[in-house]
Amino acid sequence: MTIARIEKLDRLIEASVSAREAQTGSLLRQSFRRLKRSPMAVTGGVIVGLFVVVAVLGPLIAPYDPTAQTWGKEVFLNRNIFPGPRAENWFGLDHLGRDMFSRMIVGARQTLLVGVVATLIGFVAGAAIGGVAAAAGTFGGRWGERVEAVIMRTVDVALAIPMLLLALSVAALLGPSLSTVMIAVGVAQIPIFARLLRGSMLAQAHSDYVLAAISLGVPKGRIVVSHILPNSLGPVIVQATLVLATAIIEAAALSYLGLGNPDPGSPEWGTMLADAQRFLSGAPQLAIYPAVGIIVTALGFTLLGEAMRESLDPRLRRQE
Amino acid sequence: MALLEVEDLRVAFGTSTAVDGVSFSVEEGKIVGLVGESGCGKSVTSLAVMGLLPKGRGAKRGRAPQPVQAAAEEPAPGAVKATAAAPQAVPAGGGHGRGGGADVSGRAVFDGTDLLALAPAAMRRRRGKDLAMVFQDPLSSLNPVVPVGRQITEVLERHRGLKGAKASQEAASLLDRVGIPDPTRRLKEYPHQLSGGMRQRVLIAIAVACAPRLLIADEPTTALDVTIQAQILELLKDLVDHEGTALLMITHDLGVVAGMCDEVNVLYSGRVVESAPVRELFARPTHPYTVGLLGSIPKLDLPIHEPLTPIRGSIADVIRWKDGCAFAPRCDRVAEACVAGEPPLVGSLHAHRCVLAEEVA
Repeated sequence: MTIARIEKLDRLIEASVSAREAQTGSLLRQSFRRLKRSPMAVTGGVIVGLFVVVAVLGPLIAPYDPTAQTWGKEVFLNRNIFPGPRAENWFGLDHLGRDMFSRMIVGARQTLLVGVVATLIGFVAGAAIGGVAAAAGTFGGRWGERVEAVIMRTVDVALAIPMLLLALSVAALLGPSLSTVMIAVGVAQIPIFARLLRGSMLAQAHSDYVLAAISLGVPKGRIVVSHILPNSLGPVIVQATLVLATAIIEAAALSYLGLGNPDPGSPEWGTMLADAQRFLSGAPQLAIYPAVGIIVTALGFTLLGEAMRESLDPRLRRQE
Repeated sequence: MALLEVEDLRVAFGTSTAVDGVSFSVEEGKIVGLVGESGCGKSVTSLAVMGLLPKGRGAKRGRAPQPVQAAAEEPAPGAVKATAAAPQAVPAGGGHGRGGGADVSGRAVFDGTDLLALAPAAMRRRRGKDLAMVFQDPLSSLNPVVPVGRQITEVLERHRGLKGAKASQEAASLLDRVGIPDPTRRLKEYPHQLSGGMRQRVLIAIAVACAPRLLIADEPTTALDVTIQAQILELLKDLVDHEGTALLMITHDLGVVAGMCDEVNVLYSGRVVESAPVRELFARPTHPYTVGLLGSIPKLDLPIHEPLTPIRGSIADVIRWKDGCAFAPRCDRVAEACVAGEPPLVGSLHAHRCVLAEEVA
């Protein structure tokens, strides 16, 4: 046998071994492997990764103090014009003479915090409500079905209220602050998560493996927690990624409306957008930076969420 | 006294009756077959015995002797019923909640206790321990996101109090017993990583984990290809021979029955139409339905182009049937006596439900 042939054989064996390895590993690892192959996921992942790094490092990598006002030396206010991008201030200065680039970087942290916390609130509360409803309706007998009906109709009512309006009313109740924005946006997401998890659990509750578990004498509570729930979480987790994008936009919207952090100095993309509005004609770049920041971040999370949805899809999983 | 005595079991979904007075018994260490085409009530019978049917609301029972799912599953007229039956659908809802429930009456006496009269909690303690079930589709009957090892240990924990390393050790030895090589590694794998035959072996391992005295196998080989079918049947038979487990075998495949069972009950339209030891049934089929089933099986010794003899019509023809033998609208020998009234089950060792039995035989 020639050497070339042996090498070819080696490559073939290697390929089949790696194909075999691709078959093994946990479901999550397999999904991750598929995820890495999707350009959508890679784009989204890079954006989100960059955003998270910037948010975490924030003040450490910002060239200036985001609250330091360099105002006074130059009189821009009268002419309604602010210095645009230049060597010492990459994104220029805002109306108080603060470095926009530093403000964008430091503002990422609040934006991420609001997005994650709001999504977590919606996820945990919504999943709890939806999970209880589904479990009660499926295994709770006649009373359970009533409990489920009451819960789900309440959720339906909440779902009928426009999300921003719901968030606004919550914010109005609590007064403007950063936690208000988190709670308001989070609460507005609860109904979606509740409905989604309930639907997903109901679909699983009628599957064969649940019947098989019952036929083995596994108690109902255990069936819900260790069989139905893990199978139902996929779509909810994907929804969480998508909601994160919405939450960031909504948080920005609430901040824009003045319900966010009342400290005018602290940088936050939504507040920056609101501030920039007054100077839109003279210095549109002040609005463009935070707007692009919000859009790109939301896009990143959406891309990642969509890609995750595809990679977790059991139908695609079967084909492999 | 037999291990399981089912007496006059009736199951109705709303106004339609799926099982209409079925009686049979299963002795320890014996394999008993329930045979029939799709929608004859064989799966419903097994689910009722296991207490897995959704609870009914006491709706009044109707007269129609018709299984609910028959119309949807009706095979094309003239199809080879005995071998080509579609996979049996379990009534929507599985074992719980929501939608139309089943009204179950009759008795299913297991080792002296009537399972149908048992409280849900008491029944739950017995399920998996005293009586267990092997389902038809091994892929969908295993939880896709849980490693198979944990699905086995779950039962061991629940019924035998085994925990941690001891449980995994026992799980591995169970997998070994059902013929899965390298069991310790397989324990960590997910159902989709196993082949169809291996999945069914895992399901059997779970079912026999607590050494149940009665095993119900609901078409355990329908979803598998033929060589694997033979292996799985061999495994089941082996378990019965070695453990003295009683096996209730639900199938539409008369070949399986001939190879496996000691006793056979032929179900038609929710009733037992013929019941006999397996040799007796194949040697002297008495009810025209059984004769029809046997006639519709392809045989190796027949000339190649010899057409099979299908059973006329389909089970859907029975929907409007009110009185008399439910098989009458499809029977070639139908006579006056057939439509006069429902024929009783006559005979003890070889029982049948046909008024023309003497002529047929």
